[in-house]
Amino acid sequence: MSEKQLAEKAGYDREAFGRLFRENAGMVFKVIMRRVRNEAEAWDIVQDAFVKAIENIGGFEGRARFSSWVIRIALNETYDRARKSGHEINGWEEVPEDVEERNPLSELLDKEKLSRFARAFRRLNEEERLLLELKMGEDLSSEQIATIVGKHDGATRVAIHRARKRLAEFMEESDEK
Amino acid sequence: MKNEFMTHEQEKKQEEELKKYFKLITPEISDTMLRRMEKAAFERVRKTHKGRYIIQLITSPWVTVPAAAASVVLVVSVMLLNSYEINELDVKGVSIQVAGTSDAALSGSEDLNTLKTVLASHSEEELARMDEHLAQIIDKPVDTYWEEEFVHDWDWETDGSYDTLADEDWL
Repeated sequence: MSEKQLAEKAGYDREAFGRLFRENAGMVFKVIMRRVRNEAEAWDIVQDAFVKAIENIGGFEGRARFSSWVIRIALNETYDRARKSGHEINGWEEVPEDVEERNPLSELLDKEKLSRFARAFRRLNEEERLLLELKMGEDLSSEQIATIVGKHDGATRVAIHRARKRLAEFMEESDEK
Repeated sequence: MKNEFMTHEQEKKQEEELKKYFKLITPEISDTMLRRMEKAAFERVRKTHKGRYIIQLITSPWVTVPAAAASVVLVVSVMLLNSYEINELDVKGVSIQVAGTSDAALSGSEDLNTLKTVLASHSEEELARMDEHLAQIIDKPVDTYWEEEFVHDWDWETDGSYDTLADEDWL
């Protein structure tokens, strides 16, 4: 069964909805969580996004992945909420204080260096951060990313390249200080 | 001028750093949490879907066209019935004119039929006498009585129907 067929049944079929949710909600949650830094709000946005995605399934042609469609909706919801509340999207925090306890990966990466990396990353604009996050953090193809950010595939590849370049420059500046 | 391209090693290193960074700042999602959210999300989706389905159903031509046709038939029937009743009753003396122009007095078709039957069996003179006699009993003009008492407060169950009055030997 295709994603589109699943999505069309998902409004009333628990199993179809469950499959779509389990396959996509985790990724949507992570993308949103990195922006709002509040689990309850992030899940609320994820749920809203699924409701809207299923409700407007007529607009989903099935050419793109369902994940791209639902992430786009969730991001719009996040930006809308931030605009209405007058807050910026500033969920990108520096390295958490409890990083050592939270993740053994920190042993492989010097905390100070990670902090510098985080500061450089935060200097990127929201679109650049999103592009790198979807590419490196979620392993999405540039075609999927293009659907999410509303660009052509070629333009998306160029934008990702520029974002990486800018990040490298910010890191270099940080190294020089 | 800075080099536009990063070396392969630089790219690889940056990619690793990015992956680690994203992993570090993102909380893990437990299966329990995911299942709970799935359940809650499905409830919301189902509710919205149900509402949308009902709206689609009641606005669908399969429902609206027959409903509109039925409404037209109903309205026309009521109009015809009303005009028939009023015309029938209009000629039957003061009491009947009051009753005939009042919807409240004609609330039950059974009562209406009884009324019609009783009235049809009497001449206009008899009806006038009936009004006069009733006026003596109630000690007020009969048309006022109909308006004040019968039309608004008459209780067919306890007060009896019109033929109860007609059965009285006051004709």
